[in-house]
Amino acid sequence: MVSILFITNFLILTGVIGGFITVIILTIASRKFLKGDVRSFAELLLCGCMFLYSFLVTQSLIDIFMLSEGFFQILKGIFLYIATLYFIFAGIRIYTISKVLGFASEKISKKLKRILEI
Amino acid sequence: MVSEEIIKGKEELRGFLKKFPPNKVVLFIVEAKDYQKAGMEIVKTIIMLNKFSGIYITTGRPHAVIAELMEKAGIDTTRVFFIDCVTRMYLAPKGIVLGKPGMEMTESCLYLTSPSNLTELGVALSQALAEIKSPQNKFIFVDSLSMLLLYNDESTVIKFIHFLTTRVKLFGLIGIIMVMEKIVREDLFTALHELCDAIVEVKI
Repeated sequence: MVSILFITNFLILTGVIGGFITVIILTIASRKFLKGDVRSFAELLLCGCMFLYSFLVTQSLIDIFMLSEGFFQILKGIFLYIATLYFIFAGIRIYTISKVLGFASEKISKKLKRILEI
Repeated sequence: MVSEEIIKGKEELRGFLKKFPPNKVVLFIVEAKDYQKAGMEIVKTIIMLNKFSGIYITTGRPHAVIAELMEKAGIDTTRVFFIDCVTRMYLAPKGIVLGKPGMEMTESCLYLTSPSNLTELGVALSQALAEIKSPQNKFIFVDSLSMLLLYNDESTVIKFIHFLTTRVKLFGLIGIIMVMEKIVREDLFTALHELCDAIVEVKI
């Protein structure tokens, strides 16, 4: 029982630290891109990850400190909802980028295919 | 070793381009008054005499204008695919929700939203070059470095040119970059000296 609790808390803590590192990496990465669609995608992904991380932290606090229902559950729900929205926008953004820059697509310009002999 | 030349006249320009090997990048420095003529002559030689096909990146003039000039000069535009970084900058927004038109790929042109979208330009070129077959008769033409410098700072432009020249040499194409005389400062010129295989001053 104790070992299961220890393992659970260890995994939660690892997840929280991992999430924090992911947010840092995404922040650095998105700043390195020039203004444009790719940067916009990176920023949307970053925002989604930040809110997902916030959800993760809230859930961890509830689990570790056995906090009461109500406020923290609502907060958790809000974070997850906003994170999902950002991930949806990020998905739409990368989809629109792939429609234009996705050269593996069959819909690529025939003229370009012919010129490059793809 | 970087070769530096001064070319006077169309015949000399044609001679230079005819013997220019693949895997190399050449920087053409042209006076403002000869810029359009020199550009068309370079493209005409590469496409009509050398029988190359390739990608024309325009950062200063819309693709429609360049295509029209090429047709008037008797250049076969079916051998050129355009990447237009300027047209979309000046289109009106489609509305408050839709905003300005974004990137678009049409049959003969890839429209980017601005000459400062170098990331997207880099992604497009990387994707295109990764799929290319028989690169020895393909070119990438950048028109012009001067316009890129208006929309991006110098270090960004140098990084982009470094990316471009590396890709050109890695994939075995010919790279042609045009710049207007007197736009290039000393430190940028030094960097270009290191990145390009030939620097040619053209007087037509």
